[in-house]
Amino acid sequence: MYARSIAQLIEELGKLPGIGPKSAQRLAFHLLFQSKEEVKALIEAIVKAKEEVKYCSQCQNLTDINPCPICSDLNREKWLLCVVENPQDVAAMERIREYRGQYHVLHGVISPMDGVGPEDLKIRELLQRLSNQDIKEIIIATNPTVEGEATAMYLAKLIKPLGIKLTRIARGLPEGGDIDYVDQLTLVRALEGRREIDN
Amino acid sequence: MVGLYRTRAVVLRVKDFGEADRLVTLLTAESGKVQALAKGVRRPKSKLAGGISIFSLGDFQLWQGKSLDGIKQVEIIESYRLLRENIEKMAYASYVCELTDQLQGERDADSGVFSLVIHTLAALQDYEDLDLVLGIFLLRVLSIGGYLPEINVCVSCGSVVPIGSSLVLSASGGGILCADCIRGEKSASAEALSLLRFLVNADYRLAGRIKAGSVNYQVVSLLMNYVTYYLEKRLKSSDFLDIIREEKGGFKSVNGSK
Ligand SMILES: [Zn+2]
Ligand SMILES: [Zn+2]
Repeated sequence: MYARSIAQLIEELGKLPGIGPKSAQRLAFHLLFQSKEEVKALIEAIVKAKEEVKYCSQCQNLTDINPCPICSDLNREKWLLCVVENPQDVAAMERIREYRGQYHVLHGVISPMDGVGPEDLKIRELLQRLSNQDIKEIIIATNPTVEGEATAMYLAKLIKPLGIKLTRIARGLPEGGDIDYVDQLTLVRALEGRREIDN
Repeated sequence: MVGLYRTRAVVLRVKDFGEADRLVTLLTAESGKVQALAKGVRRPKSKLAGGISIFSLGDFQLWQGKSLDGIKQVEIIESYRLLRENIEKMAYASYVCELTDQLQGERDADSGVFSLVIHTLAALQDYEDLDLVLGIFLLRVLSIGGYLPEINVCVSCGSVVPIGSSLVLSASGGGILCADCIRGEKSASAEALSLLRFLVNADYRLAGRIKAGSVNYQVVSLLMNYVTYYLEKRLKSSDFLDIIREEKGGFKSVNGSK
């Protein structure tokens, strides 16, 4: 048994994704043995991020400047748009330095059994963008998971009638995997080998 | 030493768990639902990756854990790939699996649900008329649970409801109502009543043959409401299924089904 305040800290940490009861305990004690200043810096960083980070009005990625640096970069192609699940995927794509177009972050995927439907994702914002901007090709780079494929299919149904060229990153990606985990070479190949979606 | 065991099972649900694992809900052939951990499966080089996909049927080798069992190996027997590659089929299959997940307890003895689920997934994969398949499934599920609606006599007054009457299905009453006993309930067509009576004894092979069109849509919508009433909660996947069913046709037929 722990003191109430320690138990509460463990409980809060345990709510974080990927943190089980054991890791929560380890983190709690790590924090307790840090200096007051270090703990304050952590708290301030969390609060600051929470207050300052917003959705970019263009790509819906998380940013503290609006529009975000990628959207306001004039050297990037304006006609090419890559649709990804989450901000980590933008980071993964940027790491390979192959892609010079725009992004659109959905913030999730269609997952019927979790009750996540199209209206819970930034799909309305995507369609809005497509009607305002002159996009010529859209690359759908959702993960090669069941939900990622379903989302790609759903987007294809919505976008095809607009007459915009639609491609899907290649199947070189392992089925069921996370783009986040894929090595850079595989991701470059997947991008090069993208194919048009015909449904 | 870890105890190993084998079982044939269908994957009802897959959820990300921890850093690189997934938590898999299996419906086994002999012993109901089992929760099992697929370790490291989200890493691209995992041996299990690709083997554990929702809706697929396989022979699983599991290790016994203290709180959770784990998946050591799987040999896929039927992957039902089309259910994942066609978004309409996926919406129906998700609903079927979520409903099964809700109804089946952990380590319950099998009551015919396993074989029903497999046949249902196969039918969703093979046939075009997905509403018809879902209608038959829902009636079977209700029948196994002992909640099959009364479809011959009025549940309020007991009089026989003749062919040609419109269909009024009362979930709280446990069956259909005659024209005299309708109190504000919505009614569907007479064809809907005939179809419901027909589906109770139908099997999936019919789904490839009869054309019921929009009557189907009405009957399946009524049965979904009926199931929701007995479940006492709305299934999460029903929202997406509603979107797909409405887009596909139903009452607002836009461009026919594909
Ligand atoms: Zn942006
Ligand atoms: Zn009556």
